[in-house]
Amino acid sequence: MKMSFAIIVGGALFIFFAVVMVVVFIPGWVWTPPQTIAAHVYTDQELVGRKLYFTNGCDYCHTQYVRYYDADNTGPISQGGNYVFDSPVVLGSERTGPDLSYIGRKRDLAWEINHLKNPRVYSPMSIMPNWYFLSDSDLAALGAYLFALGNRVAGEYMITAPVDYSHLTNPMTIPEVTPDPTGAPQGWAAWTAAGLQDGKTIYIDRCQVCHGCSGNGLGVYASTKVVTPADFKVEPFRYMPDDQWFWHVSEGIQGSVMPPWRESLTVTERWQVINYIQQEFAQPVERDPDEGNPTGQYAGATNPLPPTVETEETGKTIFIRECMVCHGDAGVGEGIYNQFIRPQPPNFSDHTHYGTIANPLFTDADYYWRISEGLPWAAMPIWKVKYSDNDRWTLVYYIRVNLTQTLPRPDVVGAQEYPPIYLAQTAPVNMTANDADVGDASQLVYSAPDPELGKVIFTTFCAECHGSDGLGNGWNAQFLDIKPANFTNPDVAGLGEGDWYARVSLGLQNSAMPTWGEWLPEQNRWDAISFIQKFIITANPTGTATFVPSVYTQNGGKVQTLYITLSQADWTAEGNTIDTTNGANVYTQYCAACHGDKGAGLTAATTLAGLAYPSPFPANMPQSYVYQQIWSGIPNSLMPSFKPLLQPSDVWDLVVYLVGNNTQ
Amino acid sequence: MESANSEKSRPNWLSRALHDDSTSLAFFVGAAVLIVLGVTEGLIMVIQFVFPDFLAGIPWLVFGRIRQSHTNTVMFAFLSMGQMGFWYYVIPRLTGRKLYSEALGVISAILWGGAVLAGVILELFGFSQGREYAEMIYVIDVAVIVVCILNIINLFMTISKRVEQNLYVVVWYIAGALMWFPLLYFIGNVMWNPPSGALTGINDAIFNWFYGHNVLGLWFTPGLLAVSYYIVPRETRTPVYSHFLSLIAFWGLVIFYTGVGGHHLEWAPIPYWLKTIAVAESIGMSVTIIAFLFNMWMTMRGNWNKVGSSLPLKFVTVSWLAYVLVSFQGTQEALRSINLLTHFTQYVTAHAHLSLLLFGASAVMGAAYFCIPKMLNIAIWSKKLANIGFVLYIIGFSFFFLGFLLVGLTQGAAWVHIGLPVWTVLPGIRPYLALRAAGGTVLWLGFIFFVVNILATVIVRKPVSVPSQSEVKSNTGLVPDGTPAD
Repeated sequence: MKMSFAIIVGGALFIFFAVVMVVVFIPGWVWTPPQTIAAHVYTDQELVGRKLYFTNGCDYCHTQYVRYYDADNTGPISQGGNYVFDSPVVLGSERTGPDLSYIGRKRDLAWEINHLKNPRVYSPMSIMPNWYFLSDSDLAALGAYLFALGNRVAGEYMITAPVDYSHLTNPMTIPEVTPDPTGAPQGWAAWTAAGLQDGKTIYIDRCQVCHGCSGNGLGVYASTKVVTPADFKVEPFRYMPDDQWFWHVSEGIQGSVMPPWRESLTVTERWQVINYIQQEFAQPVERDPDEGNPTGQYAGATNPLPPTVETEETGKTIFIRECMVCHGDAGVGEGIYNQFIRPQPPNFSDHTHYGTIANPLFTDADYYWRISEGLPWAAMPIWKVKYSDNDRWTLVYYIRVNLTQTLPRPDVVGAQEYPPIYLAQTAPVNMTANDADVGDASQLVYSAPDPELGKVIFTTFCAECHGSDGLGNGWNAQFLDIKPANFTNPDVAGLGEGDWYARVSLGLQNSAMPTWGEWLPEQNRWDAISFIQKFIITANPTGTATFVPSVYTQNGGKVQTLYITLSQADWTAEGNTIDTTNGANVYTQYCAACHGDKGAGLTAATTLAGLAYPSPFPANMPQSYVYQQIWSGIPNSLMPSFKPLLQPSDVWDLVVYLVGNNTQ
Repeated sequence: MESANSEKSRPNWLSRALHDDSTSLAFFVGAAVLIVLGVTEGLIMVIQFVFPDFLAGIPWLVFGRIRQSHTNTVMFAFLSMGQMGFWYYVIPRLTGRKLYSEALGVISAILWGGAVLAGVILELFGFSQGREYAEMIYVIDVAVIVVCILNIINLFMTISKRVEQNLYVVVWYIAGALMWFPLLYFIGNVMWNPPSGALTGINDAIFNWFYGHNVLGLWFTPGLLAVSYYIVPRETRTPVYSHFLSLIAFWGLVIFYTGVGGHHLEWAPIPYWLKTIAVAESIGMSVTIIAFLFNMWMTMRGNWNKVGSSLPLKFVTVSWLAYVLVSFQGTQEALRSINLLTHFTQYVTAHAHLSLLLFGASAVMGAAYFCIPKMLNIAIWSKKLANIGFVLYIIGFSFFFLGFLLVGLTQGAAWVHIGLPVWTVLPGIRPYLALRAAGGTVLWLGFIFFVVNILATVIVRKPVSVPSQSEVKSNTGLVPDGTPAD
């Protein structure tokens, strides 16, 4: 081919225009997508902001179009009609920062402007430039543009399920069940017919380690994660639409360890487990709980394990790890998560229900069946999914010996032996990361124990049995046949740090003293021990009791601002009622041991040697002051915060019981 | 106004200022001066990616504005002026005629350099049209079009009066670029719609990316491949291997490149058939590339040893190899499945730098090192400095590019495969951003060496020491004796 100048010019122009016609002009004419809701006519101020947006090159890090697979889920896939008012169109070509297509109204206007000025105050990982040099009016305009971008209204904040999942509804139905007037148990039949037993089985198998058997997102694995699992009891999970449930269960949660369950669960299985979660945690409806009697392989089953201390101890380890959170360490149903589930766990100490050693009302098979299969219409897990036959039998044995007390205690051979390394432990000291990096430390925790934090731990976990004053007379002590220790007892008080650590971590054999190593982090165990040692047993056990003068008198009855506006009138105006009988019961349960009869205080004579005893309550304490002391505790003293144990209603009952309507 | 006739009527100072190749020299010097701005802006940005508070609070040094100024400086100040300098050098030599008008040419160079410099400085102060690569404001756009028309007049008049009747492949490319660019610039910048220079609605993006891609495809690619087609045969003293392959590469260029703009919008709401055309044309590009690669490779056969001894050939070899690499990379990125991973990431920016930097800047530097000594009949000021600069340039680019790639791949994999939100990836890519900044610093130094050397060569005018006979011949004769005929 001879390349003459005419051929070059003519050919180059002809081909150029031919292609341009196809790829530029024709699309320019024919492509007229209709306007969508995301497009809006810009105000004058927004136009100024928009111009600032592209003249300052925001679009070199922020895109304005959402592709169908975009993981950050900024909103629906962008349509051509989103841009009908845009000139120029600023789609952006790089995404160093997030897509801004639908950023409008996701935060408030002030946030947008302040974030522009100094992004790293709000997003520490951001590498966005600071724009504080822009004038206030420019920042306001840019903020206004961003705040309106995408034309969203408040209800559209929520990430919608992708097209594949949207508008799906749960095909499982929950049948209506009412208690049979004839008393015939029907709970199981309806429960299994609705697929809820299958759902629960999957839940226990796959979900429970993180979300917990009470669905509050506090399974044993949860605390090891940065992004904590969902608590199904709170929004948005309580009323989350079915399509969202199915999407999240199927695809997992981005940025967390929540797996995409479509990899291993069928569609039906996923709906079953969702159905279970909705029924049991998110939107529970109380139904006929009558579970009937064991059938099939469970009927007449007997415990094959020897009735020994070893069996009991194995059972206790599992009980503390799995059951205590709801049933409580003393088995009276007072576990810290029991508030999350309905129906609540039973009270094992109720001898009228469970009987006695001489006359047990439930057989081994009854216990074993319930532990293995769970209960219908309740959160009680199906433990056969997780634990072997023998493990479940150890639980039966532990519960019957220690909690329902319907079996005789096993013979104890010799004193309990703790591993020497436990006994050799000493309280940790503060250690920096550099110290730890040397690699020769004898401890694996990094902070010296904090007695004040220990007080919280003690109040939450120990005081129920050992009493707030550590004298072994806590409320639950009455239900236990092996009584909790009195820490002022010289046998206990004289123990070394390692002895304490071993006993707290591994429990005391043949008693209900939990193996706290299964539940409490090492640091918390040391905190609790330090509290006990500092405030309970370091007092001279042979010395006379010392008097603690009234804190109220000393500080003039000052009340923190947080509490000063508390008002009984407001509390009752919210629809609450005051029950001074409950107040009296709470006082007896938690306060009387130290404060004597209705705040009269103890005397040196009635206080154990070596302990401090508080002064009688002053007559003129206002309600807000009393409320504050109960709710926040008194630092550097035995008086704990009762926040972990009492509800606000209990505190109000207690306050009114103690000081009446003394609002001052 | 033919230069030979008007010479006598010129004032004395003008005669001294205007001589053969003064247009070419003006463009080259302009390119060399302005690249300092371009690479320095780049250096500031790579540092800002690692330390976002670097130079914080200075309005005209904020990332969003430097980004626009950087791309426009590098493309329109450096590469465009560099390639035009080369054209003004090579067209007289390939046609056997002096340039139609050196005066017009120098005016073009000054107008272009001044307009683009004003455009990129204005961008630093917030005057921008906000469309990628078309950010310069309307007045500057007009100046650019004016210079393009002046170029067409000047060079086409020269070609039309040629002595050498055969048009060598270099002339095809230059003629193509001269015609395509003003059309492209006018359409892409929506210049019938001042002052915004934009359409309203999503079709603006179609126009923007038709232009955005073809600034490369129909302006720099033909303009800078001309450098390879000229300097490779000249420095190896070997004719280009195949006229037929040159034809395929040339016509393939305009057929395939013109329609690929849509692959920048593969997941945007534009017509699906348009995206398909863009993908198909992007795949078609490999036809052009393979023809070019084969042509160059066969020309270089037996000549690879000459790369070590010829400074221009070093740069130009890097340039055309980079062109082949970046084109194959571009074809891959246009495939939908790969685009899904790479789009929006720094992988694309890496691709842009492999193209405009390793392909484009190498060609311009090779052309400057080749043309300037020959047009002034002088020696390069320091060959040692030039060689050190080359080594810094290659090493710097390698780490710079590696950092870019790692950032981009990490982003793409994290977003699409793992599903992480955009901001959570930022801490993870910081080490690679630091690697990029380190490489970029060395790269910056390589450019500074180049600029110093070129300016010193022009100012010092070191005489050629003991020229060999062949060098004398090739430095003085207007008709290039070694030019291979097709």
